[in-house]
Order: sequence, then structure tokens, then C-alpha cells
Amino acid sequence: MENKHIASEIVRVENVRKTYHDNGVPVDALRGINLVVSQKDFSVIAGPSGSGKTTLLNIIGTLDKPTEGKIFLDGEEVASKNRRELADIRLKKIGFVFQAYNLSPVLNALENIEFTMMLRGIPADERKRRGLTLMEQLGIGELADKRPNEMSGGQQQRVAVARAISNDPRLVLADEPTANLDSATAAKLLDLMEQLNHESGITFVFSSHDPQVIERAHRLFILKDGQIISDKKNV
Amino acid sequence: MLLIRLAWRSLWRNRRRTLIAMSAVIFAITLSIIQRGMQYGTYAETIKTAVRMSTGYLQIQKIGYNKNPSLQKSFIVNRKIEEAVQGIPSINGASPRIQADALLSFRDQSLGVMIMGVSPKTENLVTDFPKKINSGRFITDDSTKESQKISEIVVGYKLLQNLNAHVGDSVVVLAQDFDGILENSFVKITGTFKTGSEDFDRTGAFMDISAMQNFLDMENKINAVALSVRNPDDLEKIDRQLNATLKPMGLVALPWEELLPQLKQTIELDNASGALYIIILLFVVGFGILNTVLMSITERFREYGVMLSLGMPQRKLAIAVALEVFFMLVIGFIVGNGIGAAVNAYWVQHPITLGGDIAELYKEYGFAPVLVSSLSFKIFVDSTLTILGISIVAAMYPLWRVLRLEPLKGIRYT
Ligand SMILES: Nc1ncnc2c1ncn2[C@@H]1O[C@H](COP(=O)(O)OP(=O)(O)OP(=O)(O)O)[C@@H](O)[C@H]1O
Ligand SMILES: [Mg+2]
Repeated sequence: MENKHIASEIVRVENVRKTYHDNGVPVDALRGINLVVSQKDFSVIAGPSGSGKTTLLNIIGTLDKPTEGKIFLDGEEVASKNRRELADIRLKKIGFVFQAYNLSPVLNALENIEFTMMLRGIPADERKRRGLTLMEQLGIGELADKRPNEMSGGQQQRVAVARAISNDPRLVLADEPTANLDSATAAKLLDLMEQLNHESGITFVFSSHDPQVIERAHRLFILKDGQIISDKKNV
Repeated sequence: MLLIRLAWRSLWRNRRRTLIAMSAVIFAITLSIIQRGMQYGTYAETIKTAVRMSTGYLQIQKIGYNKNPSLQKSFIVNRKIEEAVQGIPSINGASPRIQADALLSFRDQSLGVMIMGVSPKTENLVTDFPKKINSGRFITDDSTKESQKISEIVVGYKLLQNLNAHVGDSVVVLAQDFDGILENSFVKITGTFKTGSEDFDRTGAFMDISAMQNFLDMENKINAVALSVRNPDDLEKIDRQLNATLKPMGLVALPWEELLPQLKQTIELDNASGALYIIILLFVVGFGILNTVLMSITERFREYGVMLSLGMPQRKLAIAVALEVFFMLVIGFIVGNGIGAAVNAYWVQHPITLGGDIAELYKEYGFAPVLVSSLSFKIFVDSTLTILGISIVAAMYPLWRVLRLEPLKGIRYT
């Protein structure tokens, strides 16, 4: 298994199948997926609704288990890990950005960003310093003590991005991160993530059917009916 | 700190529900404190009334006397005993006694009596007998009088009636002395008492202890020393201290529980029925807490799912949820104990003496007819601990649900 691992690859998906059971009826959401994401990739999984994009991202992010096949993160097979180990992998290696932002409503912007750093045991003053720097970088420096319900969608999604990258993850998974944003706001957010990809070398994997997102992809997977029908580099 | 902030703010997200759950806790604690306060207060009053009308809180006796009393199981108060008693500042009264069965005869009437030999100088320190005089007067100190003079006796008012005698009459007392020899002597009735105890008013009598010692040939032996204490809560400790000295001498200090086992039983029985009431109360609070906690976490499953997908360990999430419950409880405990303490304090200062039928009912069940409370520390600790216990039990299931939660799976559930 180790021999398959190439230094620069961060995600490897091997023959992954996922079958859901919807009221006893089997639904094949993924039907034999193989893909490799390399470090620093800015990749997009595109495809029509119901093609399996979310399912695939969930499985890569260790939030769900494949029915068949293997997932390697940083060369490590994840199937054998227990819940606590998986949580640890997510905490240390993966940043998540959700379509619906999913910030904690009782914490302000800075505290939301600090949250994952707190889980990693980073001391409070350093958390605060890092959180504020990130917010400054993402152009939301003045929102530190605002609660999510006092912010716009675009602002919340920036906070979510800051939260996702606050622990210096190797990989950021974003499931339709622009779906709830208008195109101008979406463009700004994408600029930001491109910049982070460039400057910090964070690997991004998006799922999206938003053309704006797709046109920025360095790497584009197209899913259809649970299968990859196209895998292009440097589009 | 962030976890604490998270828990604290989450607590106040649904203010109304939190306040309802908190009220349930406050209600239960307050009620428990008031209820127990009343119980303990009434018990303390009942015990006090009972021991002041019989044995005193504590007695020093020969080992075995309590189970099977006899004149011969006697002792002499020596320096060591005196020092042991004086060495305990919470003992605030001591009085010696002798107890003997006898026959009182007046003209053609003869009745069995139980004569207590007491010291008129000190008896009022341990019991209220001297205050219960119905007619005439209590006996006076005999030791100073010349021995030829006729001894005095005070009898129950019923006994006097049954003897067809009057205060001032002389009666014959017949009893076995220390060596088992029958002795008889004239004694003069100086008064009658009415204690309220049917039995004692019909068969009880008092004589001066030194007159008794003379009459029964006991020299200066006695059967018991009755003790009174400043604070009945210290009884156990006092008992232990005394027994350390007494046991090697073949003596023992017995608390009222052993001297009046029936009283103890009555109280235990009543306490058990009170516990039933508390159990019902606990169920109400337990379900209240279970319900609100379950509701508030179910509402937030999605948020919890997000935290788990960000890499929060299940255990930490459960701690955050538990913290929230804990905050709610602590506030409930503080307020509940505060209100309970205020109510009990008021009731301690303003006891209500019951009258009429209710009073009779109380007496029938062996309780002092007073509504009074108690501020005993134990009441607060016990009430808080029981509610804490039931709250922990009630919070288990919701916490278990949290521990089983799965990370949020992408936007499908958003
Ligand atoms: N938990 C589930 N139970 C049953 N079927 C599911 C479940 N999750 C997904 N599916 C099914 O699996 C297939 C793939 O779903 P998935 O959500 O991955 O698609 P998607 O590409 O993300 O779609 P969309 O663009 O609408 O988000 C669909 O047919 C969907 O109905
Ligand atoms: Mg989807």
C-alpha cells in the first residue's frame, strides 16, 4: 500500500462504491471512483444534481464510509480508523467549508475561527492573534465580534473559510461554497481561495456546478451517475 | 474557556425553556428544603418535649440497665465521671436518679407505682417535671433535713384520685430495698403532677433521691445520671466522648434513641413516608430535566454535527453539553437553597403552635403539636445532593444521544 503513495499526492480514491438504501431500495451513488488529488491542486468536482458530488466529498472528508474501495489521505488508509482517530485527522488535516456556512450562532466571528484552534489545544492568546490576522487577510477584520446573524452570507462564508484554514490544513473540502452567494461575492471568495492556494499551498477540492467555480479549476473531475466521465488537468 | 463560553451562551439561547427547567430545579430544591425543614424541626421539638418529660437527652447507666432495669444495677458518681461530664462543654445539665417499683397504700387502697428518686436542685436542668405540678408543690431537698422527719412524695394526679387521697395526706410506701428486703415507710404527699402521659400520671411518683437512698439502703448509689445538651446535633459526638471514659468502668452513655426506642421508631416511620413524597418530587424534576435537555439538544443536532465534522471529539461535545446542564443546575441550586433557607429561617423564628383537633392528631401520633422548621446544614446538603443525583440520572440519556451523534454529512442535511 505504501508503494502506491507518491510524495505529492494528498488524496487517493480507489474503486470507491457507495450504495445507499432509500427505504430498502438500493441507490448507487458512487460506482467505482478512482482519482488522485495532488498537493496544491485547485480541483473541482462538477456534475449534475444527484451525480454523487456530495457523497464523494463526504467520503474523502471521512464523514462517511464507502461501501467498497479505499481512501488514502496523505498516504494513510482511513478505513481502519475509529471515530476518535478520524476526528483527529479531520481536525489536523482537513478544513471544511459548507454551502450553508454552518457557523455557531452563539459564538462571534473571531470565536468561530478560534473554535477549531481551541480543539487543537492552541493557547488563547495565540488563537486570538492568528484569528485576527486571518480575518485581516480575508478582509473581514472589522467583524471580529459580530455574531453570524449580524453578518451577510458572503461575510459568513469568509469567516467559514478562515475557520477552515486556521489550523493550517493540508486540504480544504468545500461543498458548493458559492451556492448561496451572488456572483460578485462568489468571485471575491474564489479570489481569496485561489490566493490561499497560491501563497500557502493549501490543496482545495470543491464540488460545484457553478460555471464561475469550474472555470477557475486547475483540475476538473466531471461526475455523472456516480462515475467520473472526465478528468482534466490545467484547464 | 471557549467551551465554557459556548455552553453558557447556549444555555441562554432559549431563555424561556432554560428558565422553565431552572424553575423545576428551584421548585424541587425549595420544596425539599421546606419539607425536610418542617420534618426535622418537628422531630427536634418532639424529641425535646419527650426527653424533657422522661429521660433527658442522654443517660449514664450501668451496662445492661437499659434493657433490664433493676435497683441493683447501680453505681457511685466518682471523680472520673464528674470530670468526663464537666469536660464536655455542650453538656449543660446533669441530674442523678433512682428508679424503683413500689406499692402505695392509703387506708384500704393499695396501688403499684414507679417511684423516681430525683434531686430537686438539679432536676429542672434535665427535665420539666418540676414545672408540671398540678396541685400542691414539688418535693424539696431532703438531704439537709434531719432524717427522722417524714419524707415527701409527689404523685400523678390520677394516682391521687385512685388512692382517694389528698395533698397533705400521709401514705405508706412499700418496696424491696437494695438487698431485696421489704421496707416500708410513711411519706407525705406534697403535691400532684400532670404530664399529659396517661400512664405516668396514673403510676408515677417522685421522691427526693437521698430520701430514697436512705429508705432503700443504697448509701450513695444511683441508677442513672440524666444529661441535657445545648445542641442535640452534637449528641453522637458527646456520646462517643463519654463512652471512652465510661465503658472501662462498666458504664455506658445512652442517647435518647436507646432510652426511648418507640419515639425513634415513630420518627423513622414518619421520615420514611416523607421520603416517598420526595421521591415523587424527584420524578417530576427528573422528567422535566430529561425533557428540556433532550429537546434543546435535538434542536441542535445539526450544529453538533458541524462541530463533529470539524474534528471535535464526541467526548468534548458531551462535556460542552454537560456544562450547560451543570450551569443550569448551579443557578437552580443557589436560588433554591436561598429561598429554602429564607422560608425555613422565618419558620424557625415564628413557629406555629397548633390547637384543637390537629393538635390532638399530632399528639396521637406522638408528635409535638408545633409547626417549626430547622436550618440544619444537613437539610440543605441532602436536598441539593438528591436533586443533583436525579439531574445527573436524567441527563444521562440525552448525553448518550450526543455521544452517538455522527458528523454532519455535507449539504445534504443542510
Ligand atoms: N443519505 C442518503 N440516503 C439515500 N440516498 C442518498 C443519500 N445521500 C445521497 N443519496 C442519493 O445518492 C445520489 C447522489 O447524491 P449526492 O447528494 O451525492 O449528489 P450531488 O451530486 O451532491 O447532488 P446535488 O448537486 O443536488 O447536491 C442521489 O441519487 C441521492 O438521492
Ligand atoms: Mg451535493
